[in-house]
This record gives sequence, C-alpha cells and structure tokens, in this order.
Amino acid sequence: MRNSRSAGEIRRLVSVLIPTVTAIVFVLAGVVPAGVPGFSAVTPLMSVTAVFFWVVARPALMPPAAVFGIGLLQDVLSGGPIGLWALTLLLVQYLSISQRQFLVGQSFILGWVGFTSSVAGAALISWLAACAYYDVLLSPVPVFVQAALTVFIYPAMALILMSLSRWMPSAQ
Amino acid sequence: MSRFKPRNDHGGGRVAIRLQDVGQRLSFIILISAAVVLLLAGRADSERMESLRTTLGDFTAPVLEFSSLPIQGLRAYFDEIDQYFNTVEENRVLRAKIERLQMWQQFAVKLESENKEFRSLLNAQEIPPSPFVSARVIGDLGSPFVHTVLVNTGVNQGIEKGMPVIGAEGLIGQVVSAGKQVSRVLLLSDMNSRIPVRLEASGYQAVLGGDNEVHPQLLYLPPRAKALVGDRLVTSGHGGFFPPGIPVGKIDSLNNGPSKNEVRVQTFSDEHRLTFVRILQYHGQDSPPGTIGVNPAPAPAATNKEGAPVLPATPIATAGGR
Repeated sequence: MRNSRSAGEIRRLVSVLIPTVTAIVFVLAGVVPAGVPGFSAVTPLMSVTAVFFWVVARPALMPPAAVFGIGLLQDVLSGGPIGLWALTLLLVQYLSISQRQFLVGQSFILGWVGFTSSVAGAALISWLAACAYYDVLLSPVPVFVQAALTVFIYPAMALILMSLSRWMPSAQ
Repeated sequence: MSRFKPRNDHGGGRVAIRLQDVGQRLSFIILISAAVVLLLAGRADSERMESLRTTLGDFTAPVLEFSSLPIQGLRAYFDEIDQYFNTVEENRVLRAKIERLQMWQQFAVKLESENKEFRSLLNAQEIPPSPFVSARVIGDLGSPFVHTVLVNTGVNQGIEKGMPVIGAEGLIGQVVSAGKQVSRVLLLSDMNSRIPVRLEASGYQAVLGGDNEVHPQLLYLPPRAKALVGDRLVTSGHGGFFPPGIPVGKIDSLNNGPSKNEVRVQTFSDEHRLTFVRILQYHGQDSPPGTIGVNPAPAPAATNKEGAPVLPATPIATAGGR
C-alpha cells in the first residue's frame, strides 16, 4: 500500500520534469549532427514542437521561465544571436496559450492546424528578429522551409509526447 | 487520432486562476524584456556576448558529445552494412584508383624534386607546413540564420580564434570562438565569412563571401579576369590570416545578368557532411601576398616575437556585426 503510494509520488515528480526534459532533448536533437545528407540544412524547429505541445497539454508544467531557458540553450548551441530563440519561443508560448482554449478537447487535426499557425509565427518572429539583429534583409526561405518540415513531422513528434503525457498523472 | 485531454491544471477556483494569470503575465513581460535586453546587449557588445556563449558552450559540450554518440554508432552501423554489400564493387573501384594515384605519385615525386631544385636556385623561402589539430564535429548547423558548426577541441588543445579549418577536400571555414573544450567554426557559406582567394590557374585575386546560400559568392573579381565555370580556387594568403594554397572550391555558375555580375562557387568540402575536421595552428603572417615562393622582403611582422599571435584583433570574417 505504502509502496504504491511512493511509486506514485516518484511518478508525479518525474512528470513535473518531463516537459522541460523533452524540450531539451528536442533542442539537442536539432543540433547534433544527423549524418543524413541535406538534413542539417533543414533541421526542423524541434523546440517549437515541444513548447507548443506542452503549453496546450500541460501549461502548468511549461512555465515561461522554462521556455526562456530552453530558448537560451538553443541560442547558445546554434550560434545565432543570444536571446533570439528565447524571445521567439516565449512569443510562441503566448500565441499557444491564447489558442489553448480552442484546442483543448478538439481533434488532432485541429491541434495540427493550431500548431501550424504557431510554427509560422515562430518562423516569422525569428526571421524578423534576426533581420533586425544583423541589420540586413536575410533570406526568409531557410526558416520557412524548416517551419514546413516541422509541421510535416508534427504527428510523429506529437505521438511521442502524447504517450508521455498519458503516462503522467493528471494534476489535481 | 487522439485528443488533447482537458486537464485541470489550475488551482480550481476562479481566484486562483486569476492570480496565476497575473503571475504568468508578469513573468512573460519580465522574460520577454530579458530576451530583448540580451539581443540588444549582443548587438552593442558582441565580443562580451560571444565570450559568454563560449563559457556556456563549454558546459553544454559534454552533453552534446554524449548525445551525438548513439547517432555516430548508428551511422557506423549503416556504413558497415553498406560496405558489406558493396565490397566487390568497391574493391574494383579502389584498385583502379590506386593505379591512377600511383601514377600521380610518381609524377608528384618528380615535381617535388624539381620544385626543390628551382627553389634553391631562386633562393626562395620555404613555407613550413602548419601543425594541425584534428577535431570532431559535435554540433551541426542548427540555425537558419548562421552557418556554423561546433567542434570538440578548444583552447586546451591549442586552438585560437581565426585559425583555418579544413576537411579532407578543402577549406571549411575558420574558428570564430574558442572555448576550453569546444570551438565554433564559421563556415564559408555564412554571411559573415570573407576569405581572400585566387584563381589557381590565372592567379587573379578575389574574395569568397558567404551570404547564407549554399554556394558562396566570388566578390571583387577584377573584370579583366576571365573566370570560367570549373576554375579552381585556392586561398591567396592575402592579409596573412590563412596560409596560401589551401583548395577552396571551383566556380559553379556565372551569371552575367543585366543587374548583377554574380559568380557562385561550389566549395570542395560538403558543409552538410562534416564529421572530422583539421584545424591548422596557423598564427598568421604579414608577408606580402602574391609573392609566395619568391623571397619576400623581410616583412615587419617577421620581426615579431616567436609564438606571439600576429593575428589582428578582429579577423575579417567577424567584422560584420557579430
């Protein structure tokens, strides 16, 4: 009896960390050399996937501070301007929170549509911020290609995150 | 498929929701401002921001290295399978290659001795080959806006900012920041990369400039230089940042449109398939370019103390507001 209770406790504790940890893993997966020819040119915006999913599924477990940290990690690893992804992901989170009330309980397809708008927003924000930072008109093509790829692989990523989400006990 | 389950994550009551909303909104405002401040700080003082990144990068290096292990293993596994099925064919190709290369080797040996003879006749200065450090790429191009990779060597292994990085086929880029254990390499295609090059055959000088496109652009090529598709480019050594003669790439396309005179270059190294690279421990020379092989007049930098890096504070490639 007592054993099962402590097991539940551990599960609860682990669950608190899952969203942030998966987001970090996603960031790393986007940076680690994949060895697939051409893949590194269009690495999907994995961090956006994680942030969107958890903000909609478990908003309390993906606080803005965590999102900020995840963005900062991506900035440090990717070599771009520091603060760029921190800003982008925070704004994505803001967008996703406002979408949440429409998306909760809706079909997967609708969630996918909502995700598409979040990713498009992320691509636009990061592109504008990078242009402002470097003071040149950068080509928007690479980031939007990445965004399209991210939307394309969302079902697979969401499936992984959903199974984790189902394992997690619901918060009181 | 499945649905997002509505979960009651809030405290339950209306008041709690509101309080949480207020708290969240506040942290949003604070954190978004923090991100903007970081961006502005990076613009204002990019040197300090870069050193901050380097410090943070050193912490993340072991994690990156660890997480790249399974992928490395997987890649080796697939390569092995591939080899298993292609052994016979590969053997045939390799044999033919060896035959051809042996011919070239004899040719090279002959040329080398000839070269040596001529050099001694001209009293030409020998350019000692730079020592190098091998490194593994642990971080790929992760950003749509910058073309850099992370490698697993740093200051501890004698790496310095500005050192040229080459792969098996040719130049890859240069070190833009060196941490203790990791360094960041600015690739030729990055918009901040500017490499002095020359056409190998005609000797005309130009600058290879990246603009985040796959094929970097050849800039400042004299109009009288008749460049043709397929012409080889090597580093010119101009400016003293890079040793002369490193193969860079070949001319891929010429676009003599009405508005622009664009020459695009296909680099010899494939930026998307980098695994191991060599970092030349080249400290820069101020010998006048174009006089390689002809005994140059003693340049002022030659009198510099040995070992002191003669590299100017800002390498060309990082001049563009990073």
